[in-house]
Amino acid sequence: MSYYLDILGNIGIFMILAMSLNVICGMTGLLQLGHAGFFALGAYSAGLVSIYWQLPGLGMVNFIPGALAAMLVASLFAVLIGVPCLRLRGDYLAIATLGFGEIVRLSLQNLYFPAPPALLERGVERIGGATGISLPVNAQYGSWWFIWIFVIITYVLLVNLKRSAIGRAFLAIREDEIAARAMGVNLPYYKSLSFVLSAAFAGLAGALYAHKQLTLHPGDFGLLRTIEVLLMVVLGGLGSFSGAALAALLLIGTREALGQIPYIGPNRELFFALLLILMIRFVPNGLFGLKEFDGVARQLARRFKRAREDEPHG
Amino acid sequence: MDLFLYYLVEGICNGAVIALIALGYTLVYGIIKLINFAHGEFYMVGAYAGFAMYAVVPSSVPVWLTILLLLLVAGIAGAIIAIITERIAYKPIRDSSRLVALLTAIGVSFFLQNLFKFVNSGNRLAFGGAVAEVTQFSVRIFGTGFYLSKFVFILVTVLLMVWLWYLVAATRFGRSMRAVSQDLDAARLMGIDVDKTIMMTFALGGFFAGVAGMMVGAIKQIDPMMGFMPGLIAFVAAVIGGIGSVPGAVIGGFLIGILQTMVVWLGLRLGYAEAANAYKEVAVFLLLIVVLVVRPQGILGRAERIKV
Amino acid sequence: MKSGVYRRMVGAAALVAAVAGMVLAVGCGSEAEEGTIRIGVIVPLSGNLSPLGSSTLEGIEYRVEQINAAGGIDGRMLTLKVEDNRGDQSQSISAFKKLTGLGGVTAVIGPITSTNALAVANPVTQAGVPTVTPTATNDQVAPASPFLFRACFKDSFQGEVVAQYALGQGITSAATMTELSSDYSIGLVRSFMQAFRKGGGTIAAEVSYQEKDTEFGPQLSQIKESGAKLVFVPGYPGEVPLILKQAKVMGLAATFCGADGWDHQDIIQQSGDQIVGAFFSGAFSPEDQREIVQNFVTAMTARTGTEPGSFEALGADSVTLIVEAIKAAGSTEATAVRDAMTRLEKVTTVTGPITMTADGDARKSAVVMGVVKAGDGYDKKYLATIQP
Repeated sequence: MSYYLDILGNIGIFMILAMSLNVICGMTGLLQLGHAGFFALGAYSAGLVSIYWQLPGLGMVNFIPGALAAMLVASLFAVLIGVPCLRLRGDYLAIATLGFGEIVRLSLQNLYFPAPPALLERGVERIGGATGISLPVNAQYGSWWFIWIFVIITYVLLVNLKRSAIGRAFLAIREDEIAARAMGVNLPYYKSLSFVLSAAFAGLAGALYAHKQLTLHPGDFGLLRTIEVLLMVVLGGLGSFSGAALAALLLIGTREALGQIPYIGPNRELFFALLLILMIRFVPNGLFGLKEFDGVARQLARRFKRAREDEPHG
Repeated sequence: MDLFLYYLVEGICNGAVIALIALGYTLVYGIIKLINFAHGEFYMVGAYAGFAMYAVVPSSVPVWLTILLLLLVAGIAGAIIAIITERIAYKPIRDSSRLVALLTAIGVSFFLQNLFKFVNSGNRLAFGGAVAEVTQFSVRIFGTGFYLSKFVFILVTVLLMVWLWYLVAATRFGRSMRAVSQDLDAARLMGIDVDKTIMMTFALGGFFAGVAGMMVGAIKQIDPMMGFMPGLIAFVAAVIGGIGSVPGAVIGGFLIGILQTMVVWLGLRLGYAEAANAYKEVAVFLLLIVVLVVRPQGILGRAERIKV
Repeated sequence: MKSGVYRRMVGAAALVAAVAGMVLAVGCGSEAEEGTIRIGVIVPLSGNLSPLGSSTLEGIEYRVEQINAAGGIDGRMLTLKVEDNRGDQSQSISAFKKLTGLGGVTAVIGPITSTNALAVANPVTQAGVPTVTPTATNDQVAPASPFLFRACFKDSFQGEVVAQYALGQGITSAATMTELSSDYSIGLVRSFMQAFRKGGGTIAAEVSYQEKDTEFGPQLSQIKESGAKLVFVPGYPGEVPLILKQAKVMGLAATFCGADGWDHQDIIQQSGDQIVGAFFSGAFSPEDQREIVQNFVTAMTARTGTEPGSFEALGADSVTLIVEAIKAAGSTEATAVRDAMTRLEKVTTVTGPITMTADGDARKSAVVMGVVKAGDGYDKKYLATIQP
């Protein structure tokens, strides 16, 4: 049981990641391939905060400064990279952000931080680099319910954002940039805002990941991670937060299940890759389209109602 | 001891391989606007095919003939896997959105990597015997050792480029390729077999990648992930050169090859060898972002005009 | 359009149901084997380190078969549950959680590299399951958790062994090559340099590389310029053969040496002529005439087709340690097994008698092996034994 709850925690983190990528890719329609970079920045910021600065006796309250630092650092880098890159269109933006993601990973692989006093005593002079950083054991706040509180907060915030004026501006950019500009949408402002919001929530996911996993290393934040998350967004339906979250559950669940089947288990990645190609091929518009849970539920209810009415009487 | 010349030559040799891979990206993008993420895997498949072929070739065949044969087999294997990929994975989704195509390409790349992990249980392979003796034969120049076979990289790349230039400029296939890249629908209306042209373009790119994979595999090692980073770097080269432009890919390839070794050389000169070696890939991606910001269409690319 | 949404929802529901069904079916199935003692194994079976992982697993499987053939532990058979961690920290953590959370294992063997073993230290403490790493030699590993043990010696001893042997050969100038992605490599270089300097040697150059690097020209030219007579490269089979081959190309005249990560046929056979004359520290020598060693070498050679190295031997010895601890504890209860493990003394194993310290370190001797040319290939040759 404890193992399934642990997986539930992982799923929660991926839900937040998928929802955050959905802001920029799904709602605003800008393809971003550097999301793992923001996730990494968040995880490392939160990790370093809790390595150097932890107030004893406060327990989970210690999560807050780390999480704030994570969101702040991720947003900061989003501004830094967003201002020059967001003028790029389509594939070029995707490539530039891909470059950014790789720069973050490769830099973390070669960046060292001075060791905290506890480690200095054991003869370790520096932490970081390719072997990564380790958080203190008492900084583990990885319970599934703790993560799921943030999943719910994120979901509520982002769905409300989608239904606000800002959200409608994002959607207008996605449908037609030129038409949106003609209607008075400030393109650079809204594009940057979308980019920064997306990065901030990715940073939050990173902080949760750091405090769940305790061991962080750059190899965890490669291009493959971005692509995993992008898949969730596409499978869920571009622009749908409910869809992104459900897709995160489905994809991670499937991968776990594959791992537990004899013979397939050791080669699950092979089957997973095949499954991905098929999913994209047969569900290109995702499970939910642009809708959220309530929209889909209404539609299903209508359909059932009509089906009942269509039934021959007697 | 100044190793400038050594690193320059090393950079040119590495650049030749990058250029060869980058050609595949650029050809495919030029014709159907697809970033073929699985291209690095064609390179890996070529190396494996060459290795498998080597086990079959009798040792009585002269070494130079064996190597030529291995290069050819690797190229053909790359072409075949490219055709299969195009037919099974890309053709059915040609009319879907760009995002669907991109994700499919990534899925294919992921699939091929894991397929070879499954076949080979992830072990690294290295050439042995007569071929290894030839490919790993070294000469002493610039005060240090140098693989003689690396010069073959340049030779092979130049030969293949001349061939490609001839294909594109002077053959029927080249003409239909240029037509399809300008306007796919118009080309179809003019009676060009678009499907066949796209397939042949993939085959051509796969051939180049397969040859490149074999050349590198012969002096280094072969493993299922070997195509990932070179693929990514070559892709960056294609973008920097101007994606869709054949000479652009070549220029981009050599530029990046030289940039990487020059970063290392500078690091050695200034006493930061460790850091320079570690950050040589960061330098590539930084150059990418700078080029994209300053000149998004790349060095030789044509700017896209936005029509309202 | 509407029916599209409907179809998709049905599809998703079916997928969820199928996934849940599979998990339940498999979950129930695994509870079937009553009365056996389950031991989890975490080794890399894919990726860069897979040659080391599969060798270790061979040793583990061989020893388990041997024990079961002799009647198990008081009639209870051992069963193995193997997880592939791909040599990756995150995968190691999830593999460990899976084995202890779902697999119901009594003890765990692995992970085999120091970096991965350090990553599981916290989960090991939390789960409270005795874990024996066969080959994670970094000093920090065993003290990192009260439930973490190792079958191998530690790096501060191993680095000293290599340094002492080199100094004994009259070599006084050395260079080191560190793999920055490995705690094992980092720790070993540190202890080697300390011991080498203390013995009157000088370190002429310190260079480094990353896992999966394929170009070592810059590092090797630095070493060449420094004029070092010895190069210490405590790496793994993924990179070491390439380093040695490229060193030959550069015309580097120095002798190469390594540590127990070299005790694998992939390094010995694939590194080319530069490896002739090289030496490394290992856990045991196949030339050792003790009966247990000779039986092991014969059985493993018949099993895998190659002569076993430290990885096979320490895999087998990890099983021995767990079995001895369970026997001494008289139960499979985790804390009892842990306590019994810390009291093990002079356990007879392939790699010599092992005595456990309170920290979970194994006190044992090391051997120094050399490499010689043998026909078309290369062969290991016993050079010296060094006591702790």
